[in-house]
Amino acid sequence: MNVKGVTIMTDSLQRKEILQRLEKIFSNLLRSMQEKDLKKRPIISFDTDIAKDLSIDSVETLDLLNSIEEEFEVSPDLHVANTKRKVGQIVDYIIELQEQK
Amino acid sequence: MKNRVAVTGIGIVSPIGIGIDNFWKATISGESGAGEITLFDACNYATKIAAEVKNFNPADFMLPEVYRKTDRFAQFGVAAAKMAIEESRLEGAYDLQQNRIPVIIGSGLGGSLFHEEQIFQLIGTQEPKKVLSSSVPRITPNAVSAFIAMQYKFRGTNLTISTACSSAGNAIALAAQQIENGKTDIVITGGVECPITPFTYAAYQSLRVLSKGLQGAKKASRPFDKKRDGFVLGEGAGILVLENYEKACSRKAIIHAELKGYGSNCGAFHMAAPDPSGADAAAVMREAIMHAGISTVEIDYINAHGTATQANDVCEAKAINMVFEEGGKKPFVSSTKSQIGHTIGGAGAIGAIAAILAVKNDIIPPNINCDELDDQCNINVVQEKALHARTINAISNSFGFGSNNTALVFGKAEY
Repeated sequence: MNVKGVTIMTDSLQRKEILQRLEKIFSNLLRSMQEKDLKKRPIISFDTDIAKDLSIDSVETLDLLNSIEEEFEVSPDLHVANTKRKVGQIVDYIIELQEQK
Repeated sequence: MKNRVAVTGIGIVSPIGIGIDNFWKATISGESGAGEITLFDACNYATKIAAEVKNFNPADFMLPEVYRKTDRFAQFGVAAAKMAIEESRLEGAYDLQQNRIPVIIGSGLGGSLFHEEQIFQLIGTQEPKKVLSSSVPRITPNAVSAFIAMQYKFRGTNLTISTACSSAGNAIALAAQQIENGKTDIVITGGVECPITPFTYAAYQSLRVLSKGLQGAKKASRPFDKKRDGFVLGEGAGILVLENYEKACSRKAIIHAELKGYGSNCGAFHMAAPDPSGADAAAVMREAIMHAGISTVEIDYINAHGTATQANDVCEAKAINMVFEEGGKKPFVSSTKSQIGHTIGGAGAIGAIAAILAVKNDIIPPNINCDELDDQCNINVVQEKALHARTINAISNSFGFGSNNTALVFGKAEY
Protein backbone atom coordinates (compact mmCIF):
# COMPACT_ATOMS: atom_id res chain seq x y z
CA MET A 1 0.00 0.00 0.00
CA ASN A 2 2.74 2.37 1.01
CA VAL A 3 4.71 1.70 -2.11
CA LYS A 4 1.62 2.12 -4.26
CA GLY A 5 0.70 5.31 -2.39
CA VAL A 6 4.13 6.81 -3.03
CA THR A 7 3.89 5.87 -6.69
CA ILE A 8 0.53 7.61 -7.03
CA MET A 9 1.87 10.72 -5.31
CA THR A 10 4.89 10.78 -7.60
CA ASP A 11 2.65 10.45 -10.65
CA SER A 12 0.48 13.24 -9.39
CA LEU A 13 3.46 15.49 -8.77
CA GLN A 14 4.87 14.70 -12.19
CA ARG A 15 1.54 15.47 -13.84
CA LYS A 16 1.21 18.76 -11.91
CA GLU A 17 4.72 19.78 -12.84
CA ILE A 18 4.07 19.07 -16.52
CA LEU A 19 0.78 20.95 -16.29
CA GLN A 20 2.59 24.02 -14.91
CA ARG A 21 5.08 23.95 -17.76
CA LEU A 22 2.24 23.50 -20.25
CA GLU A 23 0.47 26.51 -18.75
CA LYS A 24 3.42 28.68 -19.75
CA ILE A 25 3.31 27.28 -23.29
CA PHE A 26 -0.41 27.97 -23.57
CA SER A 27 0.07 31.43 -22.17
CA ASN A 28 2.58 32.21 -24.89
CA LEU A 29 0.53 30.64 -27.66
CA LEU A 30 -2.74 32.25 -26.68
CA ARG A 31 -1.10 35.58 -25.89
CA SER A 32 -3.30 35.49 -22.84
CA MET A 33 -0.98 37.74 -20.88
CA GLN A 34 -2.26 40.59 -23.04
CA GLU A 35 -5.68 40.28 -21.50
CA LYS A 36 -6.18 43.06 -19.01
CA ASP A 37 -9.15 41.41 -17.38
CA LEU A 38 -7.68 38.58 -15.29
CA LYS A 39 -11.03 36.85 -15.19
CA LYS A 40 -10.91 36.47 -18.96
CA ARG A 41 -7.57 34.71 -18.95
CA PRO A 42 -8.08 31.05 -19.79
CA ILE A 43 -7.85 28.55 -16.97
CA ILE A 44 -5.72 25.55 -17.81
CA SER A 45 -6.56 22.34 -15.96
CA PHE A 46 -6.34 18.63 -16.72
CA ASP A 47 -9.96 18.83 -17.84
CA THR A 48 -9.52 21.72 -20.27
CA ASP A 49 -10.50 20.85 -23.83
CA ILE A 50 -7.96 22.62 -26.04
CA ALA A 51 -10.33 22.97 -29.01
CA LYS A 52 -13.57 23.70 -27.18
CA ASP A 53 -12.27 25.74 -24.25
CA LEU A 54 -9.18 27.38 -25.76
CA SER A 55 -10.22 27.51 -29.45
CA ILE A 56 -6.87 26.09 -30.49
CA ASP A 57 -7.16 25.30 -34.18
CA SER A 58 -5.16 23.02 -36.47
CA VAL A 59 -2.48 25.65 -37.13
CA GLU A 60 -2.01 26.39 -33.44
CA THR A 61 -1.83 22.67 -32.72
CA LEU A 62 1.41 22.69 -34.71
CA ASP A 63 2.75 25.49 -32.52
CA LEU A 64 1.71 23.53 -29.46
CA LEU A 65 3.54 20.43 -30.72
CA ASN A 66 6.67 22.40 -31.54
CA SER A 67 6.66 23.97 -28.11
CA ILE A 68 6.12 20.62 -26.36
CA GLU A 69 8.94 19.13 -28.42
CA GLU A 70 11.30 21.85 -27.26
CA GLU A 71 10.19 22.16 -23.66
CA PHE A 72 10.07 18.45 -22.84
CA GLU A 73 12.66 17.21 -25.34
CA VAL A 74 10.28 14.61 -26.77
CA SER A 75 9.12 13.87 -30.31
CA PRO A 76 5.35 13.73 -30.38
CA ASP A 77 3.69 12.08 -33.35
CA LEU A 78 1.36 14.48 -35.13
CA HIS A 79 -1.38 11.92 -35.75
CA VAL A 80 -1.33 10.63 -32.18
CA ALA A 81 -1.15 14.15 -30.76
CA ASN A 82 -4.20 15.17 -32.81
CA THR A 83 -6.28 12.62 -30.89
CA LYS A 84 -5.51 14.31 -27.56
CA ARG A 85 -8.16 16.90 -26.86
CA LYS A 86 -7.90 17.32 -23.09
CA VAL A 87 -4.88 18.85 -21.38
CA GLY A 88 -4.77 15.80 -19.07
CA GLN A 89 -4.42 13.54 -22.12
CA ILE A 90 -1.58 15.70 -23.40
CA VAL A 91 0.15 15.49 -20.02
CA ASP A 92 -0.15 11.70 -20.06
CA TYR A 93 1.16 11.57 -23.64
CA ILE A 94 4.21 13.63 -22.61
CA ILE A 95 4.86 11.24 -19.71
CA GLU A 96 4.51 8.31 -22.11
CA LEU A 97 7.02 9.88 -24.52
CA GLN A 98 9.44 10.66 -21.70
CA GLU A 99 9.30 7.07 -20.49
CA GLN A 100 10.04 5.82 -24.02
CA LYS A 101 13.29 7.77 -24.14
CA MET B 1 -27.68 52.86 -65.53
CA LYS B 2 -25.53 52.41 -62.44
CA ASN B 3 -27.00 51.97 -58.97
CA ARG B 4 -26.46 54.76 -56.49
CA VAL B 5 -24.37 54.09 -53.38
CA ALA B 6 -25.28 55.16 -49.84
CA VAL B 7 -23.10 55.19 -46.74
CA THR B 8 -25.30 53.70 -44.02
CA GLY B 9 -22.79 52.61 -41.41
CA ILE B 10 -19.56 54.00 -39.97
CA GLY B 11 -17.14 52.40 -37.53
CA ILE B 12 -13.89 53.95 -36.45
CA VAL B 13 -10.91 53.26 -34.22
CA SER B 14 -8.71 56.35 -34.18
CA PRO B 15 -6.09 58.10 -32.07
CA ILE B 16 -8.65 60.76 -31.15
CA GLY B 17 -11.53 58.46 -30.32
CA ILE B 18 -13.16 55.11 -30.81
CA GLY B 19 -16.62 55.22 -32.37
CA ILE B 20 -18.21 57.77 -34.68
CA ASP B 21 -19.43 60.16 -31.96
CA ASN B 22 -16.12 60.33 -30.09
CA PHE B 23 -14.18 60.72 -33.33
CA TRP B 24 -16.37 63.51 -34.70
CA LYS B 25 -16.49 65.41 -31.43
CA ALA B 26 -12.69 65.32 -31.17
CA THR B 27 -12.31 66.18 -34.85
CA ILE B 28 -14.35 69.35 -34.76
CA SER B 29 -12.80 70.33 -31.42
CA GLY B 30 -9.40 70.27 -33.10
CA GLU B 31 -7.88 67.64 -30.82
CA SER B 32 -4.53 66.03 -31.57
CA GLY B 33 -3.98 62.32 -31.02
CA ALA B 34 -0.19 62.57 -31.13
CA GLY B 35 2.02 61.84 -28.13
CA GLU B 36 5.08 59.99 -26.91
CA ILE B 37 5.34 56.43 -28.21
CA THR B 38 4.14 53.85 -25.67
CA LEU B 39 3.65 50.82 -27.93
CA PHE B 40 7.37 50.02 -27.93
CA ASP B 41 10.52 51.32 -26.30
CA ALA B 42 11.61 54.18 -28.56
CA CYS B 43 14.52 55.40 -26.43
CA ASN B 44 17.05 54.67 -29.21
CA TYR B 45 14.99 56.39 -31.89
CA ALA B 46 15.70 59.94 -33.03
CA THR B 47 11.93 60.55 -33.29
CA LYS B 48 9.76 59.40 -30.43
CA ILE B 49 6.24 60.52 -31.27
CA ALA B 50 3.26 58.82 -32.85
CA ALA B 51 -0.51 58.99 -32.86
CA GLU B 52 -1.55 55.87 -30.98
CA VAL B 53 -5.04 54.56 -30.33
CA LYS B 54 -5.65 54.78 -26.60
CA ASN B 55 -7.67 52.45 -24.39
CA PHE B 56 -8.47 49.92 -27.10
CA ASN B 57 -9.59 46.69 -25.51
CA PRO B 58 -10.30 44.04 -28.15
CA ALA B 59 -12.42 42.13 -25.64
CA ASP B 60 -15.01 44.92 -25.94
CA PHE B 61 -15.59 43.98 -29.58
CA MET B 62 -14.77 40.32 -30.15
CA LEU B 63 -14.49 36.97 -28.47
CA PRO B 64 -11.20 35.67 -27.00
CA GLU B 65 -10.87 33.10 -29.79
CA VAL B 66 -10.73 35.99 -32.25
CA TYR B 67 -8.44 38.44 -30.45
CA ARG B 68 -6.04 35.72 -29.35
CA LYS B 69 -5.52 34.71 -32.96
CA THR B 70 -5.20 38.16 -34.48
CA ASP B 71 -2.71 40.97 -34.81
CA ARG B 72 -3.63 44.44 -33.57
CA PHE B 73 -4.47 45.60 -37.13
CA ALA B 74 -7.05 42.85 -37.64
CA GLN B 75 -8.52 43.58 -34.20
CA PHE B 76 -8.96 47.23 -35.17
CA GLY B 77 -10.67 46.18 -38.41
CA VAL B 78 -13.02 43.71 -36.74
CA ALA B 79 -13.90 46.27 -34.04
CA ALA B 80 -14.61 49.04 -36.57
CA ALA B 81 -16.65 46.65 -38.73
CA LYS B 82 -18.76 45.66 -35.72
CA MET B 83 -19.46 49.32 -34.96
CA ALA B 84 -20.33 50.05 -38.61
CA ILE B 85 -22.63 47.05 -39.00
CA GLU B 86 -24.43 47.77 -35.74
CA GLU B 87 -24.77 51.43 -36.63
CA SER B 88 -26.24 50.61 -40.05
CA ARG B 89 -28.94 48.42 -38.50
CA LEU B 90 -28.58 45.99 -41.37
CA GLU B 91 -29.52 43.08 -39.18
CA GLY B 92 -33.23 42.63 -39.34
CA ALA B 93 -33.51 44.51 -42.63
CA TYR B 94 -31.56 41.87 -44.55
CA ASP B 95 -30.84 38.20 -44.05
CA LEU B 96 -27.11 38.86 -43.76
CA GLN B 97 -26.00 35.26 -43.86
CA GLN B 98 -27.92 34.58 -47.07
CA ASN B 99 -26.44 37.63 -48.79
CA ARG B 100 -23.13 37.16 -50.56
CA ILE B 101 -21.81 40.34 -48.96
CA PRO B 102 -18.34 41.39 -50.10
CA VAL B 103 -15.72 42.63 -47.65
CA ILE B 104 -13.08 44.84 -49.28
CA ILE B 105 -10.52 46.39 -46.93
CA GLY B 106 -7.35 48.40 -47.49
CA SER B 107 -4.13 47.71 -45.58
CA GLY B 108 -0.64 48.65 -46.63
CA LEU B 109 1.31 46.49 -44.19
CA GLY B 110 -0.85 43.76 -42.68
CA GLY B 111 0.10 42.26 -39.33
CA SER B 112 3.43 44.01 -38.92
CA LEU B 113 3.42 43.86 -35.11
CA PHE B 114 3.38 40.09 -34.94
CA HIS B 115 5.60 39.80 -38.01
CA GLU B 116 8.33 41.89 -36.43
CA GLU B 117 8.03 40.16 -33.07
CA GLN B 118 8.63 36.79 -34.68
CA ILE B 119 11.52 38.06 -36.82
CA PHE B 120 13.23 39.65 -33.82
CA GLN B 121 12.82 36.40 -31.91
CA LEU B 122 14.34 34.40 -34.76
CA ILE B 123 17.29 36.75 -35.05
CA GLY B 124 17.75 36.76 -31.28
CA THR B 125 17.56 33.00 -30.76
CA GLN B 126 18.74 31.75 -34.16
CA GLU B 127 16.21 28.98 -33.65
CA PRO B 128 13.82 28.73 -36.61
CA LYS B 129 11.75 26.16 -34.72
CA LYS B 130 10.65 28.89 -32.33
CA VAL B 131 8.84 30.76 -35.10
CA LEU B 132 5.12 30.16 -34.60
CA SER B 133 3.24 28.48 -37.43
CA SER B 134 0.30 30.71 -36.56
CA SER B 135 2.44 33.66 -37.72
CA VAL B 136 1.25 32.97 -41.26
CA PRO B 137 -2.47 33.63 -40.70
CA ARG B 138 -1.74 36.46 -38.25
CA ILE B 139 0.61 38.38 -40.52
CA THR B 140 -1.22 38.08 -43.82
CA PRO B 141 -2.88 41.38 -44.79
CA ASN B 142 -6.15 39.65 -45.69
CA ALA B 143 -6.52 38.44 -42.09
CA VAL B 144 -8.58 41.60 -41.56
CA SER B 145 -11.09 41.02 -44.36
CA ALA B 146 -11.20 37.30 -43.56
CA PHE B 147 -11.90 37.80 -39.85
CA ILE B 148 -14.61 40.38 -40.58
CA ALA B 149 -16.24 37.87 -42.95
CA MET B 150 -15.95 35.04 -40.43
CA GLN B 151 -17.61 37.10 -37.71
CA TYR B 152 -20.72 37.64 -39.82
CA LYS B 153 -20.56 34.76 -42.34
CA PHE B 154 -20.25 37.19 -45.24
CA ARG B 155 -19.55 34.88 -48.16
CA GLY B 156 -19.10 37.34 -51.02
CA THR B 157 -15.88 38.55 -52.62
CA ASN B 158 -13.29 39.03 -49.90
CA LEU B 159 -10.33 41.26 -50.68
CA THR B 160 -7.59 43.19 -48.99
CA ILE B 161 -6.21 45.92 -51.19
CA SER B 162 -2.62 47.00 -50.62
CA THR B 163 -1.60 50.20 -52.35
CA ALA B 164 0.22 51.88 -49.46
CA CYS B 165 -1.45 55.13 -48.35
CA SER B 166 -4.23 54.89 -50.94
CA SER B 167 -5.20 51.33 -49.95
CA ALA B 168 -8.46 52.36 -48.33
CA GLY B 169 -9.36 54.74 -51.16
CA ASN B 170 -9.00 51.95 -53.68
CA ALA B 171 -10.87 49.51 -51.45
CA ILE B 172 -13.82 51.91 -51.09
CA ALA B 173 -13.87 52.66 -54.84
CA LEU B 174 -13.86 48.96 -55.69
CA ALA B 175 -16.56 48.32 -53.09
CA ALA B 176 -18.75 51.04 -54.60
CA GLN B 177 -18.40 49.38 -58.01
CA GLN B 178 -19.92 46.17 -56.61
CA ILE B 179 -23.12 48.08 -55.80
CA GLU B 180 -23.11 50.25 -58.92
CA ASN B 181 -22.89 47.13 -61.09
CA GLY B 182 -25.69 45.42 -59.21
CA LYS B 183 -23.50 42.61 -57.95
CA THR B 184 -24.56 43.23 -54.38
CA ASP B 185 -26.72 45.57 -52.28
CA ILE B 186 -24.28 45.79 -49.37
CA VAL B 187 -20.50 45.95 -49.06
CA ILE B 188 -18.28 46.25 -46.00
CA THR B 189 -15.24 48.37 -46.84
CA GLY B 190 -12.61 50.69 -45.44
CA GLY B 191 -9.01 50.60 -44.32
CA VAL B 192 -6.83 49.73 -41.37
CA GLU B 193 -3.21 49.99 -40.26
CA CYS B 194 -1.06 49.55 -37.16
CA PRO B 195 2.40 50.70 -38.26
CA ILE B 196 3.69 51.87 -34.86
CA THR B 197 6.07 48.95 -34.48
CA PRO B 198 9.86 48.96 -33.96
CA PHE B 199 10.94 48.04 -37.49
CA THR B 200 8.24 49.86 -39.46
CA TYR B 201 8.70 53.02 -37.43
CA ALA B 202 12.49 52.84 -37.94
CA ALA B 203 12.00 52.40 -41.68
CA TYR B 204 9.83 55.53 -41.94
CA GLN B 205 12.33 57.37 -39.79
CA SER B 206 15.16 56.36 -42.13
CA LEU B 207 13.06 57.54 -45.04
CA ARG B 208 13.18 60.97 -43.35
CA VAL B 209 9.47 61.52 -43.70
CA LEU B 210 8.68 61.70 -39.98
CA SER B 211 8.29 64.96 -38.10
CA LYS B 212 10.89 65.49 -35.39
CA GLY B 213 8.20 67.14 -33.29
CA LEU B 214 10.48 69.89 -32.06
CA GLN B 215 7.46 71.99 -31.08
CA GLY B 216 5.93 69.14 -29.07
CA ALA B 217 3.99 66.07 -30.10
CA LYS B 218 0.63 67.77 -30.50
CA LYS B 219 2.13 70.44 -32.73
CA ALA B 220 4.14 67.97 -34.83
CA SER B 221 1.67 67.22 -37.63
CA ARG B 222 1.38 70.48 -39.59
CA PRO B 223 -0.01 69.89 -43.08
CA PHE B 224 0.36 72.90 -45.41
CA ASP B 225 2.14 74.92 -42.69
CA LYS B 226 5.34 76.77 -43.52
CA LYS B 227 7.20 75.00 -40.69
CA ARG B 228 6.02 71.46 -41.42
CA ASP B 229 8.74 68.85 -41.23
CA GLY B 230 7.07 65.55 -42.03
CA PHE B 231 4.28 63.40 -40.74
CA VAL B 232 3.44 61.72 -37.46
CA LEU B 233 2.89 58.00 -37.87
CA GLY B 234 -0.59 57.04 -36.73
CA GLU B 235 -2.72 53.92 -36.41
CA GLY B 236 -6.40 53.19 -36.76
CA ALA B 237 -9.25 51.76 -38.76
CA GLY B 238 -12.22 53.19 -40.60
CA ILE B 239 -14.96 50.90 -41.87
CA LEU B 240 -18.02 51.83 -43.91
CA VAL B 241 -21.19 49.99 -44.75
CA LEU B 242 -22.06 50.87 -48.34
CA GLU B 243 -25.57 50.07 -49.48
CA ASN B 244 -27.72 50.31 -52.58
CA TYR B 245 -29.16 53.83 -52.21
CA GLU B 246 -32.72 52.97 -53.22
CA LYS B 247 -32.83 49.96 -50.90
CA ALA B 248 -31.41 52.02 -48.04
CA CYS B 249 -34.17 54.60 -48.62
CA SER B 250 -36.87 51.97 -48.75
CA ARG B 251 -35.82 50.51 -45.39
CA LYS B 252 -35.61 54.07 -44.01
CA ALA B 253 -31.93 53.69 -43.13
CA ILE B 254 -29.93 56.63 -41.84
CA ILE B 255 -27.89 57.69 -44.87
CA HIS B 256 -24.78 59.56 -43.78
CA ALA B 257 -23.93 60.56 -47.34
CA GLU B 258 -24.01 59.34 -50.92
CA LEU B 259 -20.79 58.02 -52.43
CA LYS B 260 -21.23 59.74 -55.76
CA GLY B 261 -17.98 59.10 -57.54
CA TYR B 262 -14.44 57.93 -57.40
CA GLY B 263 -11.23 58.09 -59.34
CA SER B 264 -8.20 55.82 -59.26
CA ASN B 265 -4.97 56.18 -61.23
CA CYS B 266 -1.23 55.75 -61.17
CA GLY B 267 1.16 58.57 -61.92
CA ALA B 268 3.79 56.00 -62.99
CA PHE B 269 6.39 58.41 -61.68
CA HIS B 270 8.31 57.15 -58.62
CA MET B 271 7.98 54.63 -55.80
CA ALA B 272 8.20 57.23 -53.01
CA ALA B 273 8.06 60.75 -54.47
CA PRO B 274 4.99 62.45 -55.91
CA ASP B 275 5.09 63.84 -59.44
CA PRO B 276 6.06 67.50 -58.81
CA SER B 277 3.78 68.63 -61.62
CA GLY B 278 0.73 67.42 -59.67
CA ALA B 279 -0.76 66.24 -62.95
CA ASP B 280 -1.67 62.73 -61.73
CA ALA B 281 -3.26 64.03 -58.52
CA ALA B 282 -5.26 66.58 -60.52
CA ALA B 283 -6.34 63.88 -62.98
CA VAL B 284 -7.67 61.61 -60.26
CA MET B 285 -9.74 64.41 -58.71
CA ARG B 286 -11.16 65.30 -62.13
CA GLU B 287 -11.99 61.65 -62.77
CA ALA B 288 -13.87 61.37 -59.46
CA ILE B 289 -15.81 64.59 -60.03
CA MET B 290 -16.73 63.52 -63.55
CA HIS B 291 -17.82 60.10 -62.30
CA ALA B 292 -19.99 61.83 -59.70
CA GLY B 293 -21.68 63.73 -62.52
CA ILE B 294 -21.04 67.12 -60.97
CA SER B 295 -18.79 70.06 -61.79
CA THR B 296 -15.82 71.39 -59.85
CA VAL B 297 -17.80 74.38 -58.59
CA GLU B 298 -20.11 72.00 -56.76
CA ILE B 299 -17.29 70.73 -54.52
CA ASP B 300 -17.37 72.56 -51.17
CA TYR B 301 -14.71 70.72 -49.20
CA ILE B 302 -11.56 68.72 -49.86
CA ASN B 303 -10.33 66.31 -47.22
CA ALA B 304 -6.76 66.43 -48.41
CA HIS B 305 -4.17 63.70 -48.34
CA GLY B 306 -2.11 66.42 -46.60
CA THR B 307 0.68 64.38 -45.04
CA ALA B 308 2.78 67.40 -43.96
CA THR B 309 5.80 66.31 -45.99
CA GLN B 310 7.36 69.07 -48.06
CA ALA B 311 6.76 67.27 -51.34
CA ASN B 312 3.21 66.00 -50.84
CA ASP B 313 1.66 69.23 -49.66
CA VAL B 314 3.15 71.37 -52.45
CA CYS B 315 2.15 68.86 -55.14
CA GLU B 316 -1.34 68.38 -53.73
CA ALA B 317 -1.92 72.13 -53.44
CA LYS B 318 -0.74 72.55 -57.01
CA ALA B 319 -3.11 69.80 -58.17
CA ILE B 320 -6.04 71.33 -56.24
CA ASN B 321 -5.38 74.68 -57.87
CA MET B 322 -5.16 73.07 -61.32
CA VAL B 323 -8.56 71.44 -60.89
CA PHE B 324 -10.45 74.18 -59.10
CA GLU B 325 -9.03 77.32 -60.68
CA GLU B 326 -10.95 76.32 -63.79
CA GLY B 327 -14.25 76.95 -61.98
CA GLY B 328 -12.99 79.94 -60.06
CA LYS B 329 -14.07 78.49 -56.72
CA LYS B 330 -11.64 77.61 -53.95
CA PRO B 331 -13.15 74.82 -51.84
CA PHE B 332 -12.26 74.56 -48.15
CA VAL B 333 -9.37 72.21 -47.48
CA SER B 334 -8.23 70.35 -44.37
CA SER B 335 -6.20 67.29 -43.59
CA THR B 336 -7.36 64.82 -40.95
CA LYS B 337 -3.70 63.82 -40.60
CA SER B 338 -3.13 67.07 -38.72
CA GLN B 339 -5.06 65.43 -35.87
CA ILE B 340 -4.50 61.68 -36.15
CA GLY B 341 -1.21 61.49 -38.01
CA HIS B 342 -0.71 59.32 -41.07
CA THR B 343 -2.49 56.01 -40.65
CA ILE B 344 -1.14 54.64 -43.98
CA GLY B 345 -3.64 51.99 -45.18
CA GLY B 346 -6.31 53.34 -42.84
CA ALA B 347 -5.84 56.99 -43.86
CA GLY B 348 -8.13 56.94 -46.91
CA ALA B 349 -10.99 55.52 -44.89
CA ILE B 350 -10.61 57.82 -41.89
CA GLY B 351 -10.27 60.84 -44.20
CA ALA B 352 -13.36 59.65 -46.06
CA ILE B 353 -15.27 59.42 -42.78
CA ALA B 354 -14.30 63.01 -41.96
CA ALA B 355 -15.53 64.08 -45.41
CA ILE B 356 -18.80 62.13 -45.00
CA LEU B 357 -19.47 63.71 -41.60
CA ALA B 358 -18.61 67.16 -42.96
CA VAL B 359 -21.24 66.70 -45.67
CA LYS B 360 -23.74 65.31 -43.20
CA ASN B 361 -23.29 67.98 -40.52
CA ASP B 362 -22.30 71.05 -42.59
CA ILE B 363 -19.14 71.39 -40.52
CA ILE B 364 -15.68 71.52 -42.09
CA PRO B 365 -13.07 69.91 -39.81
CA PRO B 366 -10.06 72.05 -38.97
CA ASN B 367 -6.53 71.57 -40.25
CA ILE B 368 -4.79 72.06 -36.93
CA ASN B 369 -1.24 73.37 -36.60
CA CYS B 370 -1.34 75.27 -39.87
CA ASP B 371 -0.32 78.49 -38.16
CA GLU B 372 1.26 80.05 -41.23
CA LEU B 373 0.18 78.77 -44.62
CA ASP B 374 3.11 77.85 -46.85
CA ASP B 375 3.29 80.27 -49.80
CA GLN B 376 3.67 77.27 -52.07
CA CYS B 377 0.37 75.86 -50.79
CA ASN B 378 -1.96 78.59 -51.93
CA ILE B 379 -5.21 76.82 -51.15
CA ASN B 380 -8.16 77.55 -48.86
CA VAL B 381 -6.97 75.71 -45.71
CA VAL B 382 -9.35 75.78 -42.73
CA GLN B 383 -6.88 76.80 -40.09
CA GLU B 384 -7.28 76.38 -36.36
CA LYS B 385 -11.03 75.90 -35.87
CA ALA B 386 -13.84 73.92 -37.48
CA LEU B 387 -16.05 75.94 -39.78
CA HIS B 388 -19.83 75.84 -40.04
CA ALA B 389 -20.52 76.00 -43.76
CA ARG B 390 -23.10 74.49 -46.09
CA THR B 391 -21.36 71.40 -47.50
CA ILE B 392 -23.11 69.62 -50.35
CA ASN B 393 -20.20 67.74 -51.87
CA ALA B 394 -16.76 66.80 -50.59
CA ILE B 395 -13.72 65.04 -52.02
CA SER B 396 -11.41 62.78 -50.04
CA ASN B 397 -7.92 62.40 -51.52
CA SER B 398 -5.46 59.57 -50.92
CA PHE B 399 -2.06 59.38 -52.57
CA GLY B 400 0.10 56.31 -52.00
CA PHE B 401 3.65 55.23 -52.67
CA GLY B 402 4.08 54.05 -56.23
CA SER B 403 2.28 57.19 -57.48
CA ASN B 404 -0.97 55.46 -56.57
CA ASN B 405 -3.83 57.95 -56.32
CA THR B 406 -7.51 57.84 -55.42
CA ALA B 407 -10.23 60.42 -54.90
CA LEU B 408 -13.73 59.79 -53.53
CA VAL B 409 -16.66 62.20 -53.90
CA PHE B 410 -19.34 62.21 -51.20
CA GLY B 411 -22.58 64.17 -51.52
CA LYS B 412 -25.32 65.14 -49.12
CA ALA B 413 -28.07 62.55 -48.81
CA GLU B 414 -31.44 63.51 -50.21
CA TYR B 415 -34.53 62.58 -48.28
